[in-house]
Formats: sequence, structure tokens, C-alpha cells
Amino acid sequence: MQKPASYLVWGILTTLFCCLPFGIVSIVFAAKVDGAFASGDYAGAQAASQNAKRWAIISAVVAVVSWIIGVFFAVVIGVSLPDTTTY
Amino acid sequence: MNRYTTSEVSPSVDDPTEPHAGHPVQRVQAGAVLFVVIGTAVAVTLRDPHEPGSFGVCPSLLLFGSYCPGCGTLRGMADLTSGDISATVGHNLLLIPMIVALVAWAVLQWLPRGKARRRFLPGRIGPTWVNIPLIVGITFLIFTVLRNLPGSELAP
Repeated sequence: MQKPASYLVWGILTTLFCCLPFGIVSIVFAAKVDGAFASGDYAGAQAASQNAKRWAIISAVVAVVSWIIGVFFAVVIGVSLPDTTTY
Repeated sequence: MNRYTTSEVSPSVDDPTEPHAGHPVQRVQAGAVLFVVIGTAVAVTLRDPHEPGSFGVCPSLLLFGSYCPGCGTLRGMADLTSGDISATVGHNLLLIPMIVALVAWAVLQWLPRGKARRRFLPGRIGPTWVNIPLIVGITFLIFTVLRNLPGSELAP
């Protein structure tokens, strides 16, 4: 029986670069994997592992979508307000 | 179950047939870490992140109006590449420790088994009650709260 992956690195990277609370959720689930596995709760460890992966992906997807929205608004405001000197 | 085809299973740290210290999946993660760190360092030399909105807006700032634990990373990296350590710390206190920890971890995954001591392998760092995800998560949470306080020195 092997321990399920905790996806901690993905959780850290999505928290730092995708910036969202969902990255924190991923880390929280990553924290549950080892404890559940150590106490013999293999199904719980597997579930926590899957949740950690899921929330890291959600964090990355939401970040990409918000970057697109952010760049879109920056372009729209930049085009419509050419006299504005700040962003 | 073939450990090379399942991404759901983490390393067997005692597997003597594995030539590298890290499991194949973790070596992919290690590659991603190094790609992100080096890619960020290159990107901030090509385009100055101190210019507001030059790399878009942080999703947390955009959606919730508050700084995330990663805010200031690009500006910090830009100052780091130009050698200004104190400015880096000013933009993001956790940036340098995170770079050191992640790069050290990533390099460790690619070391031959013999070079990486067993106690430094994943799952062997410290006693079993040391929960690294929990420590990282709590650190991020406290840091996030502190840097969002009005007039905080930790703000990016």
C-alpha cells in the first residue's frame, strides 16, 4: 500500500502564483493526506489527495480566467481613456 | 499497479530500484518548479513588473481586493535579479525563503539515490509529527492576514 500523493507542491505554486484562497484549500487537503494514511484511513487519505489535486486545478483555472478578464479590462480602459496617465 | 503509470501514488521512498531520489511524478513537479522560477526571472528582466498592470492584475486583488501571499513576487524577483535584496524583502518577505526551499526540493528530486541521504527524502524530513503542508498553510494564512492590515510593513 503506497501513500497517496499530497500534491503539496502544486498547492504551494497555485497559492503563490494563482494567488487564490483555493490554493490554500489545496494545501489544507494536502495536510490531511499524511495524517489519514498514518492512522490507517486509506480511503480518507486517497480522498484528501484527490481533493488537493482538484483545488489546485480549480485555483489555476480561476487564475487564468481572471488574468484574461484583467487584461481585457486594462485594454478596454486603456483604449477608451487615452488621456489617463495611470493604469 | 505500475508506479510509473499512476500519478495518484506518491513515491515509495525505500524503493531501491528507483535511480533518482524523487519519484517520476515528483521529478515532473521539480521540473515545473525550476521552469517557473527561471521563467519568472527571465520574464521580469524583459518587462518591468514595477509598472502597474504590466503583467496583469493578481486574481486575488482583482476578485477580492486583498493581497495574497504571492503578491509582490514579480517585483521582488525583478529586484532580486538586479541584486537589491532589501527591496526584494520589502516586496515579499517569504519570496527568498520560498525560492530557496522550492529549488532545493526540486534539485533533490533529481539527485541519484546514493547522493541524497535517506533522511532528506520526501516523507523523511523531520519526525513524523512534522506536518509540512500544515506549517506552510498556517504560515501563508498568518502572512496574508498581517500584510493586509492597514499600513502593514509586509504589504507588497
